[in-house]
Amino acid sequence: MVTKTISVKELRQNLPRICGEIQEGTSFLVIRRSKPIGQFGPVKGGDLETQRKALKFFANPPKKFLFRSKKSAVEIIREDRDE
Amino acid sequence: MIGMKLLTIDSSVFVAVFDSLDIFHQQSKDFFDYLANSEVRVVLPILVLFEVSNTLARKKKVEDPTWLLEEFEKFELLDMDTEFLKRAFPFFTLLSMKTGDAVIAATSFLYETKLITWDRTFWDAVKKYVSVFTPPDYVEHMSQK
Repeated sequence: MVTKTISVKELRQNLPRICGEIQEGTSFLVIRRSKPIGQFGPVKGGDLETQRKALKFFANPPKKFLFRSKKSAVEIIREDRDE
Repeated sequence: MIGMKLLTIDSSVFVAVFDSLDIFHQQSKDFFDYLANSEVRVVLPILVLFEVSNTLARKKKVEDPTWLLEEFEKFELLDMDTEFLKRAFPFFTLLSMKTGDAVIAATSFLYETKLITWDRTFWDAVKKYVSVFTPPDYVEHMSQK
């Protein structure tokens, strides 16, 4: 992900363009009086269609990623958290 | 986002998808298939990705997790940073659970998501505070609406 540095003045003057860049994946570090004061960027996670692709992946994961365990998934995670 | 169903899915459901001997293997896959055809948004603390990828590293000797990262990054992944801790801490006090359970339950509480898990112990511990379902219970709940 690309992160650009931007002043408060530039931010104020170019908001529509910056919003467009955020939608395309750019993050911004905001500088005021030579000091970084904050950052912003795209919302994490995809849109619904992108999420749907991940849900379909987990509905039918490739066989090469499957394993066989005597312990159940609940037991595996419970042991991990209780250690 | 109005009317959108928000879900937090526990690691147990993801791990069951990859364990072909798990009693919930097929039901977990069916659940994700159901969600893929629903209007839902999945909100996960990054802990879930860590637990699932570590399980695959141990059980399947997966060396490169990139493929898993790419799938999880399609969901809304929450960083476990100090901001999250500040928001979650009052809930930690209320729950008094181990860290992993507390992080997942706090996510569900803070983001008002429905929590999905196969873990009945976890289910019992959080049901007073969040809306929690097993995968088939959630599907049934939605079919009644």
